[in-house]
Amino acid sequence: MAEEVRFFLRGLVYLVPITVVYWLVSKEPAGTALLVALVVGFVAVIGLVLLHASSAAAELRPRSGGIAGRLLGAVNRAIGFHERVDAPPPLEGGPDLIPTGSPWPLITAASIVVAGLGLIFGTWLLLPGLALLAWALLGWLTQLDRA
Amino acid sequence: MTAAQGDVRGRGGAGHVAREPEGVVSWLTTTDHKKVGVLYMVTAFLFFLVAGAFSILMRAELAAPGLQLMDLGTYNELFTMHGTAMIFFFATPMVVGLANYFVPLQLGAADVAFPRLNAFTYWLFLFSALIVFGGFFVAAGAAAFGWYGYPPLSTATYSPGLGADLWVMGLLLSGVASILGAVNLLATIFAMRAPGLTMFRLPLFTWNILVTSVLMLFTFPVIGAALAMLFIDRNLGGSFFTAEGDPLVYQHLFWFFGHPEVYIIALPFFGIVSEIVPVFSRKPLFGYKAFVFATVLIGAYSFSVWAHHMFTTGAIAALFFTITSFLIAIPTGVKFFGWIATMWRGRIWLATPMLHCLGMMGMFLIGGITGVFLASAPIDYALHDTYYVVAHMHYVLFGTGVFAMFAGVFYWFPKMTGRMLDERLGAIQFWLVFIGFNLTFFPMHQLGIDGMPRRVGDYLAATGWTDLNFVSTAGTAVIALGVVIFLYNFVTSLSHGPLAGDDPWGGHTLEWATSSPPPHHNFARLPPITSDRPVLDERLALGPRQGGEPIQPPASRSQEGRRRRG
Repeated sequence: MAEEVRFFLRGLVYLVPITVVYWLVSKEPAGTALLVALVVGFVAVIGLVLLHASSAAAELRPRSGGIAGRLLGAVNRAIGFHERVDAPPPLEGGPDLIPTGSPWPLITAASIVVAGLGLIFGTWLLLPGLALLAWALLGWLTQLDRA
Repeated sequence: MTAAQGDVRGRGGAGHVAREPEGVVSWLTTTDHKKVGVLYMVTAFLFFLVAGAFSILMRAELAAPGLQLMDLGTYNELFTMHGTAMIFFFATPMVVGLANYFVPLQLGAADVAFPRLNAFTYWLFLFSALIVFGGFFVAAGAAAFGWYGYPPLSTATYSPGLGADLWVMGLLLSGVASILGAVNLLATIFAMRAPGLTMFRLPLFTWNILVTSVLMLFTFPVIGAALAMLFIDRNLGGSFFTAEGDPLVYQHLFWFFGHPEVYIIALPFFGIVSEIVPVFSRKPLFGYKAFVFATVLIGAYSFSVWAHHMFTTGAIAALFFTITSFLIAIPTGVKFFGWIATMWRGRIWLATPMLHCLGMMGMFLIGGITGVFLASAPIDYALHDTYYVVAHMHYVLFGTGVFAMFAGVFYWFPKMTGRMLDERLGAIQFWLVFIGFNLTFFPMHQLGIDGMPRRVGDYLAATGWTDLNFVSTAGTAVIALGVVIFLYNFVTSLSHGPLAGDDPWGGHTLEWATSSPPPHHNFARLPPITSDRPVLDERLALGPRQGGEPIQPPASRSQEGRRRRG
């Protein structure tokens, strides 16, 4: 279903013009850069969803008819409020699998914190932190590999 | 999707349930979204208690002129850590905890999309918070520059202590946890919905979490960048925010995160209220799509209002931010009208979840109206950095965060534990917190108008601020009493509360279709989903003789009176 894409397209309907207006009225670079980055982020998410959901892309594509009709139809499909109730979700998460418990999330978080503290206290803490992080990531990933 | 050995298939309970470790180990190694959610909620509530204790100390200090309990440096540490803890370690993780527990249940899913990542984000959040609080145990004390961390005050020149570095690093790592948590929730909502659960059938709590996740995804990197630059300035000789750089850029970055953060906190609690009001009004929600679009609009608008916190810098386009800030009142008003229309001519059941929702509506309304005043640049110039702003932000954040949190806890406690909280104690607690809250924060409006600046540990008797400050301090004690009663209620109800059954309130959404507490795989079966209230649909289809009728609320006096008259 394309509603997930429309969700971000509707966001762009507000964010693109407000970015332009902000730049025109303020000429302030920091805020404008942040708004532009936000627009790029929204576009990137839309791209990611479309990449994984051909059904959504097909639903949003322009269809046959006159120029005005095609344009209105495209706008309606892009940001309209009607959702097809029979369409599949755009992202297939696969079957619901429940992993068993794992110590690696805790160990990985702890190692990142040790490494982060190492940036404050010095390399005597940073290096063990990075070593611990490497071990934790290895443990996490090899646990996945056994599946 | 790859998963580890021993994985089980959820949704319908097909497959075997793997043997889970027990006791403390099970909590340390859990990847079950429900347990991770509980860990988040309990930890966040503990930080709420700690930050609340700081506020009691601050209010005790301000009860009378002169220094009673602490020096001004300690006061600075307390208000900094109070704000930091309440925003980053209570309100935000409480939202994530509630989302962790209930979003998969509301989607009819067996877990979140990335369960191990989910557990990782919890531990990273916990350790980050401990790093920040570790500042109290270093020689120079904790960070003491306010929860904004504005440079140049937060640079190494003016805040040279180790506590400031711990604050920066802790918040940076906590931000990483928030970003990953947002990705996980977005993936869960987009990819793990039960068959038939289209986007416009999502429960409103989940819709609000979706918008909140988008806000988190796009704003936490900004504060992360700001904190990283501040860290470089402090420790590696950088000059992003020093005299050679531009301290004002930090304010832009901070508030580009900071204002959406208000909605990161508020929206999920709006979602809770939108779940509870229809159930306790015995009516479907009025204007489902209007609620959804109001939520999306609030999220979009929140990206364009950041600099209304910076009016007094004189370096921003004031009219632009005044107009965009006013705009947010429109979708917020839509929500209020929707709640009122839902209650209108409903059979309102004033149980504790509903009481807290009504409290939230009233308090947030006051906070919203004072917010409109502050969004007007000329008024903001007069009131900036006074106690009026403190009053406004507490009516917004405490009004939504705390009242709606209690509403959610009373509403979902039976689902999480299988037992009911005590309604009588709940009502007493509500009134104590409600009265205490207004005693504490309402006088601050007048204090602000009278010119009392925020973040001061002392004032002169000649200012005339003593009486209102004393009332405010007394109110804090009343809130504390209410919270103590809640804790007593919570602890005793865990073991001695009446059994709840699967659906004690007559809920509408999928979490009420499973047992209380839910099994490891969440659902033995799912009802057909043809609307945003599948459980209500099924109950109505079954009818009263087949156990389909919800528990009837006790008739209120007015209803009894109407019946006698009619």
